[in-house]
Amino acid sequence: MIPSPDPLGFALPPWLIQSLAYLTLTLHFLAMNFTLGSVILYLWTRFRKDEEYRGIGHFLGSGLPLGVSYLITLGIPPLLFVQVLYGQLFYSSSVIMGAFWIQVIPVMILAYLGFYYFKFSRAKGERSRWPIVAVAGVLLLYIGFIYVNNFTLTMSPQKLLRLYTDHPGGGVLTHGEPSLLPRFLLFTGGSLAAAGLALIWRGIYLRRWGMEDEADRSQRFGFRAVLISPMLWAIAAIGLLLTQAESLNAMWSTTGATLPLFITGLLGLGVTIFFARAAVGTSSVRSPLIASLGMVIIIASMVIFRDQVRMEVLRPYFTLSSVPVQAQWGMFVLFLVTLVGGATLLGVLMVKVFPRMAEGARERLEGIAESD
Amino acid sequence: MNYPVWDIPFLGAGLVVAIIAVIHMLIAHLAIGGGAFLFIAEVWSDRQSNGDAIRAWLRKYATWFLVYTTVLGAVTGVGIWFSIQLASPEGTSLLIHQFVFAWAIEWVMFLGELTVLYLYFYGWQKNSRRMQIFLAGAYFVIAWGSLFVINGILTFMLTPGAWSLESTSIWAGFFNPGYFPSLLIRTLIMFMMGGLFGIIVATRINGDDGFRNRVIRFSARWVLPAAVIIPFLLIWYWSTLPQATVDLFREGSTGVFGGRLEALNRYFWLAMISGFFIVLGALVIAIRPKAATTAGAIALFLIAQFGFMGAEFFREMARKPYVIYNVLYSNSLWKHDSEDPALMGEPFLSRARWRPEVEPMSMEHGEWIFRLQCVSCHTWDAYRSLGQRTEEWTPEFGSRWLETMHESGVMPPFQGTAEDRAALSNWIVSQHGEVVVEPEITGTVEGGGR
Repeated sequence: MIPSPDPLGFALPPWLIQSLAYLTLTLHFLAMNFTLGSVILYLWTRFRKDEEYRGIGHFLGSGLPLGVSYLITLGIPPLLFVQVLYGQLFYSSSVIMGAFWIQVIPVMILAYLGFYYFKFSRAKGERSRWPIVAVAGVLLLYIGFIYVNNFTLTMSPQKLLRLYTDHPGGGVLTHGEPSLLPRFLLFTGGSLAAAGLALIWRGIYLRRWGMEDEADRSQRFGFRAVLISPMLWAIAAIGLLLTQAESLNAMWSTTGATLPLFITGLLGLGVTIFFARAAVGTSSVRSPLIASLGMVIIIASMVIFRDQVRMEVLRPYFTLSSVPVQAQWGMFVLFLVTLVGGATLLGVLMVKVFPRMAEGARERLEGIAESD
Repeated sequence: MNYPVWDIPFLGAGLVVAIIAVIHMLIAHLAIGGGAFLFIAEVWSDRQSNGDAIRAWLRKYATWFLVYTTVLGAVTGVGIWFSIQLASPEGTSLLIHQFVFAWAIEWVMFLGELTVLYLYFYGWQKNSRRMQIFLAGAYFVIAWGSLFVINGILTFMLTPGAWSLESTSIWAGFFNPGYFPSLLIRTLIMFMMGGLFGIIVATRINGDDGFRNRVIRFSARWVLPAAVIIPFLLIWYWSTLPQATVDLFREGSTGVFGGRLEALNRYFWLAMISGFFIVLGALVIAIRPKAATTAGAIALFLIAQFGFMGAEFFREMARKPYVIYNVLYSNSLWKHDSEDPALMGEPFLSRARWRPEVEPMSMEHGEWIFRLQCVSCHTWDAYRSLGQRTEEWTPEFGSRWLETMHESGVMPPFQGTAEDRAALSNWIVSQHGEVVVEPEITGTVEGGGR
């Protein structure tokens, strides 16, 4: 029993909407992983209480408000496209856990304000307020958990009615779905790798500015962080194999997408680790760029894999091809024009402004070094 | 009925939407008007002898502006989306499927304005003057572009114009009759908000009174275009409203003297009176800037918040009983269904997907009709309390009232049979402590007739 799809149908063929969802969700997960990873690594540098890591901690802590800003902004389009594709399931599951779903908003505001408060109080020279970062990090994890709950619930149409009639106020969160935690771990597991790669990039610029020691520290620490993520992903993969073997088998027999996606993800992982290692000790952007592309491939494979599993699980109830298409090609072209125009403008502005901002960052860093 | 209804006690789903929307609307208007303010103030500072002092003040403005708009503004914007999914999934689905690329374009604008704001703010000390002015201007243009897009969807809900389920032309829906007056009114209000925010930050300037007064005057002038032009735009906006809304307002106004004031009228006057006090306050501040205090400036800002509350509630109430005018009722039931006699003759729960198996004419029968047809707008004991409104009901009266409630103009027609009405009425009466026993229920059904 699931609601009917919207009578207006899809505004584009579903594969195109899926592609847009894959692209933007990949970007969202990258921003989310970077932010969460920055929180974890920042706290780690605090607990080490080692002056050597002061610069790294400063860099990671400073990026938190921007990280949250882009994780929110890049989270908007995938949420839009998922409502187009699976709206009837998504709205139902959101209502069923409505009391939790709406909490995302105040909790996100608290976390975001916390990061800004931390950043500005530190800029004023007040004593470090790392507990705020810790609490805000936990709040981000809580939001992630609510999200995973909701999207996992969309894949259990058989449970929806019972859950609703038992909890019409939307007060149900976990619902006995064994794949919940592996899914949560799969999508947060890349956090350390994303923040680690950011540190490797930082090292490239530090080396160019002649700060060899700090560059070495940043890149070595970053690379070690990158190596932790595959372990978390492995645990998540085993969890998924144990809890979703049936749908994975079904996916294997119908679309055959399981193995190619798995291999692509592994290749991405290999590329990320190999080139992240190669980037340590260099000032060339080539290796970190390829390592970052590897990371994009890993996350994109997971995003596509996730959607393929969803389609497979929902096949008895609903297929995308059953929904009529009332194409809005004109609006789509207008969107593309706006996107390309906007991206070009931002690209040009960044090229002009970033070198000056980097110069400012360098001066601040030199200030920190001198104060030591 | 396609979707479950979020039954949140005390607040009600509608109030959750309203709380988030009212906060967001004020910040969203500031986020755009503040961009224009930053741009003009940047240009102004270059023409003044004490440009550095003005820019130091602008830096403070930009810091508060950045945190306020990117944290509270952005997240409450997403919050509106979350809350409307819960309050009206059917309506949200229609809007998303009709305007998906309008929303996607608005997202591009949002991404653009955010990034440009960061380049402006974080590049403050290193960017050239020309670049800073360009970034401030670009921010305003892009941010206003996001209004240009979202305004089409907002006004569509009240005045969909030539759009219908049979003729789903996106342009007819987007550039609907209310589009342009609303766009212009909102643009002027944005300038006003940018100025009000400027006054608050300017009152914190210490030391140089002459400089403080000049900056306060500069900020207060931003309120004036709205004061002068909006009354004319309101006449235009009024002419685009559905006739039923205008009628409701007229009757509500007449009723003021008879002791009755419709919610629609109350919200309208709240917006108007707030606007009047803001203009009055800004005029006093412009004439006597020395009198401006931070507390007074914040009070003006809070009055603006009340004004937004009035305006947004008015827009909401003007749509009643629809969520998308003439198409979809606030309780997620379609208008075309209510015009289909065959459907109306069917027991309501037989076409409701989200309900347990219930005994016909049982209390559960009535409770689930309450949940599926009433809870979208009413709670039992608090917001738009149904308990309060039905204190004097008897089962027979309630059943008859439900049959004709749509004639009030603000309620949707009841969907279902006489048995459904009786079951709902009995359940309501039972919630007041009246014992409604089985024979009486049967009597009610017979009394209500089919």
